[in-house]
Amino acid sequence: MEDWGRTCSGCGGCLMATDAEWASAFAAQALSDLEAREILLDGGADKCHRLHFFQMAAEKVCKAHLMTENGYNAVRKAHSYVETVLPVIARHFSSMAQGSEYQTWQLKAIGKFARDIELLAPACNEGETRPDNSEYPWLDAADVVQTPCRYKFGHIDDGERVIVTIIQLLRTAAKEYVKQ
Amino acid sequence: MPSQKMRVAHRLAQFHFKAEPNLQAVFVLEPNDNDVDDETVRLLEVVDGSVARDTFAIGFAPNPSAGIPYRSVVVEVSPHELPELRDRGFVKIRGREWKIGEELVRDAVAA
Repeated sequence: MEDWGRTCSGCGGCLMATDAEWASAFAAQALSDLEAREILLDGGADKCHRLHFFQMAAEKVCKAHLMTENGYNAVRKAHSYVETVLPVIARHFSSMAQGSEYQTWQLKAIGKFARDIELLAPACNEGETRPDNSEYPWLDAADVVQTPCRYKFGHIDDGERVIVTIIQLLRTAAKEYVKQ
Repeated sequence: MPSQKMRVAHRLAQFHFKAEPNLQAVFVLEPNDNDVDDETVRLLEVVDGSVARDTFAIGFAPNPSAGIPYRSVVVEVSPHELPELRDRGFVKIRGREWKIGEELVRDAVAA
């Protein structure tokens, strides 16, 4: 593995794991999350579980791309990065894919999905205005308890074509750090 | 910045201009005078419609087959954030200041 400065994320002096090692680990886990999503899909699992693993994979890929430069400690606990980081990752990888770049509509769709994906995390509720998430029950605006496994998540169609594009993007972006 | 690295920065900026129609401007981020440079190309990218909330840096591995032999880092900001950043003259990444350097303009062929 390439050693990008052997920077200690904790004390600054000891031989703790490098940020590059953390990035590689997060990327590998993201690939595993995507595999888990496929297994859930084949097994007929509820939509919330497919979305949950999709969201976790996206979050980990984005964190991997943030960790090498900003440090593990600055990134590890935050959730609200997918909306801002995924479009930049998409742009970068699209620009490198000479001959098979994304169309403008695809980049826009990725940006929209990035926001929807981010809001699936329980911690991202836009000041409690968006409590719907793929993991925990919540109280909706009409004071009715909603349960992820029964909720339709009608604003996200995870059978839409752009989902395939995003999954490919996540795999490509994750592999960039896994292979280091 | 060494000319070879500057050429790579320019090439990377052109890739990004081509991929993102809303990319308005790209600047090279350079180490302060007394700081040591590293094997990374850092770009400050100004994107119309950016929803970036922090100046977080997004890192990418080298891609020699595309002519990018260095690691690269993108810091995305919106156009309304740029004046303040330019007045300040630097972007802070992980406590370290990176000077906002030369603007990399869009090549005619990439427009």
